[in-house]
Order: sequence, then structure tokens, then C-alpha cells
Amino acid sequence: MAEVPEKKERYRLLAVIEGKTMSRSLDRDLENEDAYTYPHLVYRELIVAVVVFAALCILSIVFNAPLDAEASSTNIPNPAKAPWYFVGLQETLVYFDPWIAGIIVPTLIVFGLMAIPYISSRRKHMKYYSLSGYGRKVVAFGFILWSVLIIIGQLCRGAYWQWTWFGGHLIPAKPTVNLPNILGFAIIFIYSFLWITLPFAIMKLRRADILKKYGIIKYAFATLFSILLFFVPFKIFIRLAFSVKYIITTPWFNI
Amino acid sequence: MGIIDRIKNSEIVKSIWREGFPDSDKNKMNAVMESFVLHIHPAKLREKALKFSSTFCLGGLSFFTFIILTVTGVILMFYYRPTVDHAYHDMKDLEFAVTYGLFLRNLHRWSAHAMVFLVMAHMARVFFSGAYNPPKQFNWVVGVVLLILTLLLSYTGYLLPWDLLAYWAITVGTNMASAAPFLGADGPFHELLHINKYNDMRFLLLGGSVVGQNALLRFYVLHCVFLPLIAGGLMLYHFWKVRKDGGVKGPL
Repeated sequence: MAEVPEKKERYRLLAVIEGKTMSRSLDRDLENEDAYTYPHLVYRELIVAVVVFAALCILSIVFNAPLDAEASSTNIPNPAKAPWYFVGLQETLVYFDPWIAGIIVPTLIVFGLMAIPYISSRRKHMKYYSLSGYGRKVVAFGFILWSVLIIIGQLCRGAYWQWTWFGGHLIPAKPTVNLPNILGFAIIFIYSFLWITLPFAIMKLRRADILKKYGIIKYAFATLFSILLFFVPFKIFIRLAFSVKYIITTPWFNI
Repeated sequence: MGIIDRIKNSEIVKSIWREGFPDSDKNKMNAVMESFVLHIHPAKLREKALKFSSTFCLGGLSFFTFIILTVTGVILMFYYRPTVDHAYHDMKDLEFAVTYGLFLRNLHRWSAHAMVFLVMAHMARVFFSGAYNPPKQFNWVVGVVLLILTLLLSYTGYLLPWDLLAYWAITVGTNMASAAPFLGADGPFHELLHINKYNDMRFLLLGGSVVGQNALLRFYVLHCVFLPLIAGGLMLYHFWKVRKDGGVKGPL
């Protein structure tokens, strides 16, 4: 008896289709990858570096770095200003005590900045600059607040840290009051309560289930940092509008 | 062969620049890949990444100003003694007695201000283009640490001229340290840890209870040795990680 041959798979050519291959990754556009680093990028960088170096050299020839009289513990300049990148923090000394303005605020800025990628909403890699998204707007506000505080501290503060409109005459500070502690705690409670519940209510209204894809921990940290960031302009507003220096006074610390 | 060609093809020149002049595609790639400085870049990149507005060259310019500061800083170190008796007079000597001393000091000062500004602008650019999203989160954290180091480098350098501006700027700053909770002699709850002005955080920063010789020497060593070494090491990691993650404005 003859052996029955094993059944084998047979592959048949069905069709040939002409066109672009489908086998490429989705994010890469192969036609757009043809620029050589040398010379295109290298020459662009060289030009930018030369322009910046020339600008720095011209600045160094025209403007002298400041040099006051020799250091002395008795000769106190008025006002004694920090370097420009810290003068924003020095400005917050008007509205907060040193332990907040000098320690808490810088620590929160540093840890808040470090936390940004971990509480961000994971949008796709942006190909252009964009302000879309709640988090991006909050951070943009933070950058603007920092810049405004620097401008005010550097240009609008004169002797005894009094206000001056960009070099005009000095305006002395108005006398201030301290709020009773019960009112201070109520303000902080209502402020935090609104910050925690209002965004949540807005999301529910828009039926956007942010919490499900965002997670309660990330939302909590994002809310915490937003509360602390916006408390600074909030306190500044209370001070300017109502001449309130402290909303909470204790023998150990004041806010 | 003319004399230039003979020099170009000599063994000495060819041992330094092993690849020929980058006129062919292969040599253009080699010019980047075989170069010590240029191999931080990929050999080829996307056409749209060449646009100035894609990064405004801010990261590169931050590093460039750091190089300017290192070079001018080292030269300045030849003329400066970090003692209370000599520091201010050495600054005056730089201005009037040293050839190009005034230009050198000015260049160092304005490059320092420029670097602080460029680093902050670089952070803003990276943020608004979303280049911190996963898996690049840790590189962003390293970048924030580099920002802190830049500010500290600028702050420690601020004291070195030992003039009124320097002395009182550092006094204001370190007095904030004495207001720290628990660890500052004037802060809340400092009695709990028996903190006074001879053992608080301000004492650690200044090496004393006043801004004096110890503070000047401490800030000098921080400014010239300690902080640049740490910043340089972190920069090496930062640049390496950018390439590892697909390059500047590159795909993930």
C-alpha cells in the first residue's frame, strides 16, 4: 500500500499591492529625517553661540559690574537687597514671616517643581508650545507670579522697603491690623474647602471622570500644591485690600 | 600636491583628525560621531528640529555660559585671595592694575546673570513643550537640582567681592536661615532642640555667628570647587539622558 503523504500547509500568493509599506512606527515621519548634524545643526549652534558671546562681550565693555565700598558690619545700605533671582522671595517677606518666606516657600517651590512630571496628566509629547490643560495654566501662573515678584522687588522697592512706582517718591506702608485667630482659621478652612471641592464639582458638571484615570493620590497632591501656590497671592490681596498683617497669631508662629 | 595638502595628509594631522574633510555623506556623519565634542549630537536629525523656535538653543546656551564662567573664573582665581584683608583690594586691583581685568570681571558677572536667566528660560521651554513627560521625569528632577545649584553658585559667588552689596545680600539671606523652624536660632520651636546662634543652620552656612573670614572661605570653596564639581557631574548625566531618551525634541 502506498504511503499517504502528510498534509502540508501551502501558501498561495493572493495579490500584489503597490504602495507605501505599513511597517513603520507611528511617530516617525521618515521623510523628515534627512538633515545632517554637520553642517546644519553645528553651524546654527555656532552662530547662536557667537552672537551670545558677542552680546556678553559688548555688555562687559559698556557696563561695569557693581562694586560698592568695602564690607563693613556698621555701614548698612538701605535697602539691603538680595540678588535679583532671590529678590522675589525677599518681596514676600512683606506679606509673610521669614520662616515662611525664606524656608517654606523655597522648599515648596523646589518640591513642587520636582513633582510636576509625576502629577502631570500624561499628555502626548507636545510638538509645539501649548497652554492646554489645567496643570499647565497653574504652572504658567506660578512663573508669572515669580517674575512679577522679582520686578516689584527689584524696581518698586526703595529705602526701608517702601513702595515706589519705578523710582518715584517713596510711599510709606500703611498701619496694619491682625485678624482674630477664629477668623483666620475660618478663612483658611473656607479657602481650602473651595479649592478642593470646586474643581471636583466642575469636573462632575462636565462629566469628565478625571479621578478615574488620574487617581486620587495625584489629584490630592496637585490640589495641595495649587492650594499652597495660590495662597501667596491670596494673602497679598488680603494685606493690600484690608491692611491685615497676620490672619493667625500664636506665641510660636504667625501666618 | 600643494603645501596645504601635504600638511593635511601628513601623519600628525591625520592622527588627530582621522576622517577626511566632511564633504561626503559618510564623512559628514563621521565628523560628528568621531568628534569628542560633537558626538553629543546624533549623526542625523529631523528637519523640523533645526528650527530655532523649537528650543531657542536655551539648554546649549546654559552650558555655553557655564563654560565661559569656568574659563573666566579660573583666570580670576589667579588674582583673588579669599581673605577679609585682601579680597576687596584684589577686586580694585583687577579693575585698575590687571590688564583686561575689568573686562574679565565684567564678563564673569554678566555671564553669571545670563546663566541664571537662561536656565530658568530653559526650564520654562521644557515645561511648555511637555518634554518632561514619562519616561523623562527623572531628568526633569535632575534639571531642577541643576537650577538650584546654579542659583547657589551665583549666590556663593556674590559674596566674594566683599563689598557692601555682597556683605549685606549674604547677611539678609543667611538671616532667613536663622528663621528656619526647629533648626534656626530665631525660628519657631527652636528651644525644643536647644538651638542657639552658635549651633543653628546659619552657623553651619557661615562657619560662625557673623559673616566673616570663615564665611568668605567657605563660600569661596563652595563656589570654586564643590558646587561646580557637583553641577558638572549632574550635567554629564543630564546630557547623556537626553540623548538616551531620543534626543532634543525627539520622539520617545
